[in-house]
Amino acid sequence: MSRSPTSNRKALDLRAAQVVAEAVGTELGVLLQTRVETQQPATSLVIEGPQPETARIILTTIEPGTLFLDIGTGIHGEWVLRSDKEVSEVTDVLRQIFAAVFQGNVVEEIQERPFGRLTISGSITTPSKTYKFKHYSADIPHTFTGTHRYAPYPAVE
Amino acid sequence: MNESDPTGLSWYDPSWVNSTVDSVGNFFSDPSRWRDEANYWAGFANGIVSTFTFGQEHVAAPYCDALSFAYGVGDGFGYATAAVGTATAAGAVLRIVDVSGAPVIGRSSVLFGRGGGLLNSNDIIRLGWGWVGSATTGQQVFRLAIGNSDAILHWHLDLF
Repeated sequence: MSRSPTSNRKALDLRAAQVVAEAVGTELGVLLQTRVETQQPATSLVIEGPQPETARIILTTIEPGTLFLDIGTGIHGEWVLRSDKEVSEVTDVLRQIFAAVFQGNVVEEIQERPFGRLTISGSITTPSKTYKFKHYSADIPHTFTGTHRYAPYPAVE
Repeated sequence: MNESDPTGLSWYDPSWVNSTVDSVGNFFSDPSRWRDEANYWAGFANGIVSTFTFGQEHVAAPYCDALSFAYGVGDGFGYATAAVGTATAAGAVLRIVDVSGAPVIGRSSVLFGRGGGLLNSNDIIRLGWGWVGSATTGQQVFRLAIGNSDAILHWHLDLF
């Protein structure tokens, strides 16, 4: 019996990730907005603060097992998920990344390159690990070049 | 040649000039260096020719030493040059032509398909279709990616 190439993939439930993000926000006492968007072929969870100075987080799934992460202007990461264990591990990583972004521990550096290309370097610092992202692209709309630290999400009054 | 510099102020360093002259002289006087040079460029040409003929044609080393170190180094640079040139040219063409739905290289293809493509589904390095941005404003990208949930560094090169 033949198997589909994606038959051994596990999808991250974006609704569950939404609950995690809101729980982290509540724990830290910060204001945030979340929504789930769907437009074929993709579904996204968008998390953002009420002010433009904060970094927006987007999680997108398309085919089963694919998970794409975008933060700020062009910080980009992605995972292939094959088991419930990997889904659990990625959920833990996302929990740490959510907390770091909500606290303003995210720095982005954008440099323009020849032929319209950009180099986007990002670092997200959590208590246990600093995640580094390097993204080379030509199609990211950007409003700044140089180094930029995003603001923390504002506290709930 | 008087190599003394009693004032110690001259930029001229006689030992540097002399060593350069010696190196150039040795190159022309030592046939083995010509051979290394020829083998290097033969290897470089082989990398390019072999890439673009899918391995059907090869360039032999002129001094019959295809296993030489110089040939090997040149060969490596030749393959790398061909690969970068091919990727750049392919990217330029594919920016114009939408191939995302093509059966062989499209987003559902066996090789580059998102999520299941043979070259696009492992934890270490992935080549094929990805996605950047949200469901409503994002877009398909053909990219080279490195990284997994354990990785400290996530690296992405969007090719087109």
